[in-house]
Amino acid sequence: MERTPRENLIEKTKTVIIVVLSVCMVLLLCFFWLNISLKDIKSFSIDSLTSGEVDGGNMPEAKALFVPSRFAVTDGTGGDRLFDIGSVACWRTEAGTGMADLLEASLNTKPFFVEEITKEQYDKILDTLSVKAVFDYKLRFADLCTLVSGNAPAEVEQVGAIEELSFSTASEGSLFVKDDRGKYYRLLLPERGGYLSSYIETLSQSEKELYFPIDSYLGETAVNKTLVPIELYAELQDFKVNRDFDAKNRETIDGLAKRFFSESFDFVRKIEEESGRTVYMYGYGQRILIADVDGTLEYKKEASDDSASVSFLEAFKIARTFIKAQGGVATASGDELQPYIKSTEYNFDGNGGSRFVFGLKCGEYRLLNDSSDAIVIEVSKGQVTYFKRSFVSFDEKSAVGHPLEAMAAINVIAKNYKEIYNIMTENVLLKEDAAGEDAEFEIVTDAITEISYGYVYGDDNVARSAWIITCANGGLEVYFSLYEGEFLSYRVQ
Amino acid sequence: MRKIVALIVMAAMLLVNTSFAFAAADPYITIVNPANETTITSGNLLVSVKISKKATVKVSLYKNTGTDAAPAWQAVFANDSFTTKSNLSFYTRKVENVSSGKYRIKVDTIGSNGTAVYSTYSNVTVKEKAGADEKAVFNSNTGAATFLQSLLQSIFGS
Repeated sequence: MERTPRENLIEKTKTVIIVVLSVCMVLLLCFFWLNISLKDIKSFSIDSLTSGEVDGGNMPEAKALFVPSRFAVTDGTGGDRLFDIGSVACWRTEAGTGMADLLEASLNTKPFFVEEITKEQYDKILDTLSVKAVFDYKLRFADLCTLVSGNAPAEVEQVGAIEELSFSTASEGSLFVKDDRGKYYRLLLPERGGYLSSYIETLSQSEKELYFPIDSYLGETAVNKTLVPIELYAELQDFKVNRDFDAKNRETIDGLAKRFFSESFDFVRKIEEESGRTVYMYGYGQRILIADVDGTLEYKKEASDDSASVSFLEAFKIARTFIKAQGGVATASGDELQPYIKSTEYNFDGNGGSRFVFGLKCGEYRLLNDSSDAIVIEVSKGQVTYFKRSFVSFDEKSAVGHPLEAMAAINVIAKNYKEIYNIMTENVLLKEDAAGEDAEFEIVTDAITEISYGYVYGDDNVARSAWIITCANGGLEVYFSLYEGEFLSYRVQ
Repeated sequence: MRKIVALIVMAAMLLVNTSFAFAAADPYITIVNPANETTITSGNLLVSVKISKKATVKVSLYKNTGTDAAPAWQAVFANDSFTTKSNLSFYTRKVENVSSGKYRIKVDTIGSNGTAVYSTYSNVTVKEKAGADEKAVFNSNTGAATFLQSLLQSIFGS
């Protein structure tokens, strides 16, 4: 028997009503049975995040972060001028004339050409008007190539972690690479980098301070090419910083903690210690969050054994997503900060895990804490297993004053070499003891791997303008006041 | 006999001059850069003087505008004063656009009466720098061979 159109409509309506009621029943069961709220649905689970974008805070992408730590420009007549990536157009330009643009062009050339060259050839070709992009952290050249052009040719696998990517006006059709294994390479470009040549010529004639290798100051016996400025007029001045959150403000801390345990916060044990520290613990310590009195948040999670390890760049994506989910690089009060990559570690856990350490900048200068880093994050087997954040808020305008002559860096070392030597001795950073003052001075100057300046703050929450002297292959940073050369503090990494 | 006397006199004069020169140099002052009797090719010159005591020094840089036989020292900068209260410090100064020629750096150690009690010297030669030649630096045959190898690899696979 055939149904009339009216009966058909009634049947279809019934079907729709039954489906809607069934869905509603399932949802209501979930709400009541699993104790889920609408807020929980809107929020997200940290553990379920492995990649992709989330509606969290801001965190720059890999391409914006894995950039050179500085550019060293020389006109070949003695001395280098150093530039921050934000102040020059040496890396990426809209016209495609930067070093990353040239590297991309080289990688996309068929056939791609790379050859190993000697140190002598490298030094000779760069001993003229040239620019070096210096990387202070570990980044495999193949990973840099992937970031720059989307893929890395098989030929670049032989190159280790990049230390310098260089361009010389004496060989405008090439780029040069120095890696962490002490090997040097030459890459051919499809076109000559004429525009970059004229741009770095302008930079080489700028008023920026000149840097010379430390052995030029010390004489023939020293062999250390760490760059030291001959004189410096700086605008840096001391300023107050405020820690990320007040440990007494339970509401703020709970709000921060909920981001880490969103779907299971009701099952988290909360321990408020007498010191003011708050510990949040899930399960039998599978996940722990510590909100410390100094405004730091530290999160630890046991890695699942059944997960596979991921590549360095994949690990960075996971780390970035996690950081974004925690509010990005903004303080609890909402101040946006400027991060940079301070150091990285491949395979830090022996299981292919990756470790990323981020610092903060105030303008173009580093803002360091003498006991912790802004963000430390570890990714093991595709999961974030460790995260620590130590943020401060500050007024950037109060960090800049009138230009003053800083104490010459070489005299800061001459004045304080005994202090540095003693710190190295106390922290077992020396292979052998020195016999006499001259030997102590020599040991210290040999151990220096970087001299820079920026801001350093400690427990008193005053960021001080400082010389930052890095020794023992980055194992030690010693801070001295920028204008008087007085010892401030130190940090063993 | 006259020749022998003349030789003895000349030798004595040389010895006296040398001993005078050494006596005049301050043992606590070392001109580290540029080192004495070196040839440099730099256009930007770093002057670095190591001072191993509390002292006041005056540093000068001269260029020889005469000849080797009849030098005429013209000051590039003169009597740049530097005082240190530390037992170890460095006087440093950059000199830009230094042209080729012979130069002399003089460091006077100033005594309590305000006059020079020691003078330390360093003589250097500055030469024009030859530009880096790409073909000379890179063996073009090696480059071509590698390029050819790379080309063949890209065509036939590795």
